[in-house]
Amino acid sequence: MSTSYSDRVLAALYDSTLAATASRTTRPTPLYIIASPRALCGKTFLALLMADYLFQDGGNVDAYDLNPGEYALAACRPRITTKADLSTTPGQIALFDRLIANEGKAKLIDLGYSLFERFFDVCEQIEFVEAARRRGFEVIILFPAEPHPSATAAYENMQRRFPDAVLVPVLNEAILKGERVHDSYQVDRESAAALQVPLMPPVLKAYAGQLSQSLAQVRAHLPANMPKVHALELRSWTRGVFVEFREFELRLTLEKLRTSLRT
Amino acid sequence: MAKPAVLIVGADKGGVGKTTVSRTLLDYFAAHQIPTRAFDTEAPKGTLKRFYPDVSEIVDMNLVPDQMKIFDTLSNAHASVTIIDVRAGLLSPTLQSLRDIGFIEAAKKGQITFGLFHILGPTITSLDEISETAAYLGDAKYFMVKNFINNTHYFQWDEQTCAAYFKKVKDAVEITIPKLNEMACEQVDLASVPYLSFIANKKLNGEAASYSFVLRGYVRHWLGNVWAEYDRIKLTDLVAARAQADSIQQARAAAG
Repeated sequence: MSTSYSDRVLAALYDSTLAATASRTTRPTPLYIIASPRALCGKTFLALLMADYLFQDGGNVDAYDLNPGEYALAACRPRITTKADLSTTPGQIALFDRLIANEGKAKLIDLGYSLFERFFDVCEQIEFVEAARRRGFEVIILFPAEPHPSATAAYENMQRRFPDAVLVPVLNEAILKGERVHDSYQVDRESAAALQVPLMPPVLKAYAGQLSQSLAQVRAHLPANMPKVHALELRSWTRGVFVEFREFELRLTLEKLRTSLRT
Repeated sequence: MAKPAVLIVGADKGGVGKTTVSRTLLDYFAAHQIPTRAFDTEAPKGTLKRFYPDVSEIVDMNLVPDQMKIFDTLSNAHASVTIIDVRAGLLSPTLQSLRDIGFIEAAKKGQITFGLFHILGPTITSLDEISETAAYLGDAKYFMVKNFINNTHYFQWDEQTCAAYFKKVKDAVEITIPKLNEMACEQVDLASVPYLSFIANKKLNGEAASYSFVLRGYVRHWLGNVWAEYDRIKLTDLVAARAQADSIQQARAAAG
């Protein structure tokens, strides 16, 4: 928070160029960050779902894969995904300078657990969340919930560090396996209510992993290399998840509307 | 007219970031609307002049006419603050000259505000520099600046030895300048603009530039930390110019 006279001068200078760009867009462009400091909590799967969901909206999504050494999202969705790197300043420039450019296209980051701290440290230093908001983005952090203390502590920490971002816990049944974590993942606004990802039957997961088409396309055309019963089940499952995402977007829009009516 | 203030930025060792500190000071005073001028002693080709062509001048501190250009104009210059970026190896001779021309004495009498930003290197030689410099200081405000801009580590300073040296200078104040991201540092240098212009994404002539968002963010964060140090030492109060700046602002506001 800017407090001293010096801080205010710097903030005013930095903001002067951003104000003009922010006014160009009326509806905030979503910028999703899928993040957790823990491995194997379903981040990339969630990123894949979200990428497919956003892609069905006219292909308007730029995804960034920050999983050095793996780049699974980039392998699955190469047309919309860029491999990114944070270890060097040129890598950071290539990522953040592109992220911050608002052309009305949704952005999605699949953030690997090993880069969790580094990524958010850079965000904090360059005031990325605040700057992105001024440029007409809505920064949404999707946080796969887990009962592990390091995950809950990181979630609370994120709430404190990035009050301008919408921090949403994601309850993935495949990860939680029936454990209740609601109490550890309090939300600070109505629109950030936890997203539910239902358990995908293992047989479907095997098929989904082999799909050459996106899950969004499955909704329109049933895949030929899959028994029809499984294809229909996969479509139904996908629809459920996408409805969850759509409802989240609607909650966000409604919240914005309410706020604007109040002011 | 406020009492003139002279701030000397120097070190006997080269490459410790004197000009960087001078640049942050010029930006700080500009942001606080305190009229400032600067002298760059890296004659014939000054680095500071490249970044602040309008307010800085290159001088040769060994030449009497150039010494006159600085010190004979203190009272009638438009700027209330004068920053002198003393090139490597010239700090002790400069302080000696200041003593010889009666400047140190005038500061002692309170006619001039005198502050020294001594940029320290990581080695014990820097501590020796302190004791050498202290001999000239009189009542000057002495700031010992640890500049981390070149990835410096001050590990060589044994605490007790250090304390013994620091005691030699009455009321010495320590300032820490954090490290700026190397690429950001390089890009500001390439752009040849003040840090403030870089943050505001402007060229030297005020036109819009297209500097990296990441690098601008790094520079802003870094400069914020440096200025926090200047705020901590109440630098504007030291140069007794806050009141003057306020009156200028008020006059501007009244003029519409």
